Amino acid sequence: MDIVKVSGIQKSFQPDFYKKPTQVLKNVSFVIPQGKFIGLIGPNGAGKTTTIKCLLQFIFPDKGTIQFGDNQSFIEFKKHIGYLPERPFFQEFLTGMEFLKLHWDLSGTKKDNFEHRAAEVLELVKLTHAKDKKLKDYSKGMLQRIGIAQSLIAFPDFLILDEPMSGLDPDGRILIKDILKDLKKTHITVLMSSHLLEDIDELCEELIVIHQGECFYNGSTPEFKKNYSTLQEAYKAFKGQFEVNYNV
Amino acid sequence: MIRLMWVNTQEWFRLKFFQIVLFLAFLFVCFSQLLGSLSFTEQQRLVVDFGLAGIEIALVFIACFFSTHSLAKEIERKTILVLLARPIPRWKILVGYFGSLAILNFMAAVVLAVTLYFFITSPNLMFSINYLLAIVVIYLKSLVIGSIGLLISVIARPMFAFVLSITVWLMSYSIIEVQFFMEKAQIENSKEIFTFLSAIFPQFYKFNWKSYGFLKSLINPSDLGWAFLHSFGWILASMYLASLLFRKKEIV
Ligand SMILES: Nc1ncnc2c1ncn2[C@@H]1O[C@H](COP(=O)(O)OP(=O)(O)OP(=O)(O)O)[C@@H](O)[C@H]1O
Ligand SMILES: [Mg+2]
Repeated sequence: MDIVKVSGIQKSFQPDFYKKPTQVLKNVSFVIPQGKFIGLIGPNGAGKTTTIKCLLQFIFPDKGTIQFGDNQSFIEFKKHIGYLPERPFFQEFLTGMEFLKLHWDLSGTKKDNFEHRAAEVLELVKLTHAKDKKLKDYSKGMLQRIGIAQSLIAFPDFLILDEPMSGLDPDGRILIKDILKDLKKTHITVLMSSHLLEDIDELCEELIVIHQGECFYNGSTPEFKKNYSTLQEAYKAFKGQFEVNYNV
Repeated sequence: MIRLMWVNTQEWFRLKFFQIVLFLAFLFVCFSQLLGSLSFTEQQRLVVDFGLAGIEIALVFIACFFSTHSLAKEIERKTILVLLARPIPRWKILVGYFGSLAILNFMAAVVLAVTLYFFITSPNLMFSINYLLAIVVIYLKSLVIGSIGLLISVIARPMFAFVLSITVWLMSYSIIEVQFFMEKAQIENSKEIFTFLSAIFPQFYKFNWKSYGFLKSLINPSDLGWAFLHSFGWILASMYLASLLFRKKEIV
């Protein structure tokens, strides 16, 4: 079953009314099958974050449709997700624990063992020692990690992670990778965007490749790699089709 | 929603701005006492008039500042993204902000009203009841302005929204004077303009009970009922409109 079905979405931004709108998403279609790890890759400015924002209805596509489950309502869909934004900006006047409590309550989960669950996710991201510290005293890597704890707190079935490894030191990166590997043993679905192709190669069996606002590939990772030994090489070859242009 | 309300309230309670306004208003109330003691015959009058005016100004400033900066700041700092990803409809987030404002201003109103009440010499029962009603109406007015501020802040920048909602507050008292001048100056269509102005601004001048004279005799119950209905109507209408606009707002 597919959790999300995105068909032909387009999105333009118009920073000021007198400026010409720029089309950021030209034609993006993909499906997210249940229980899979899906990597969302593409160069800077390809439209990965914009796609995720459309998915979560922070912004609304100009054209195209997004279908959740079998015609689930959007609120119903959101009951089962965890989301980590691209940049970890959270209410900084809360402590780590209060922050998790807020999201626990907002998630509307029926379970009532918050203390236990909070201890569990804090242990997972190695922040137990900082749980009573205010978020404004957290370092960037700690914020990223509490963000991941926040996305996991309410037992999500579907995780949306926008660059979960950014801002982390090598240890942090390994930590997150291990958490994701553990999650892989459960039935969770994960959509993650990343620039770290080795990580994607290791974790994701499905791929969505976006380039200049168009979705070029949506299918299994081995299929994309076909004739190449690593994802990196396959991606390089894919990019080779285009005039490589780093003006973005 | 309740949880969100409480979190926001806590943050704003810690905020310096709130404390400063409250402190200034407190000084103002004390100052009115000082003024009152200067002219002995008019003492009660001055204390009450200045004190109540001070309370209204303080509450309205808190309301304007909070309503136009809370949501807007949260959007600007992108802290709202993780909240929007949670299974709550957007209008509940708005109502959460309104709720925190209601709690904050309630606390401010209680503190200021009690302080002022201590300065009033030998208030009788009727005066006390009227005094309480006057405070409640001032509180309601601040909430009306707060809901309008929230509505404006959905579509405008914080500073602009702040100025605009203060303007709405001033206009809500002065449309009657505007009408008076228009009639004096024999401006054409003054009636139509006045009808238009009364439609887009609340009509606080109709329940301006912040003066000693009013409080000495009982407030007319039907006036009071009208004040309540008028305020709730404005709050509901602003919040409804704000929700509609916020539902389709793009948060980039
Ligand atoms: N609010 C906005 N107004 C105007 N342009 C925007 C806006 N948001 C994004 N863009 C543009 O859309 C394009 C895609 O942005 P997006 O953030 O989706 O890229 P991305 O694939 O996530 O890149 P990165 O890997 O750097 O995170 C960029 O060229 C960016 O300039
Ligand atoms: Mg991005």
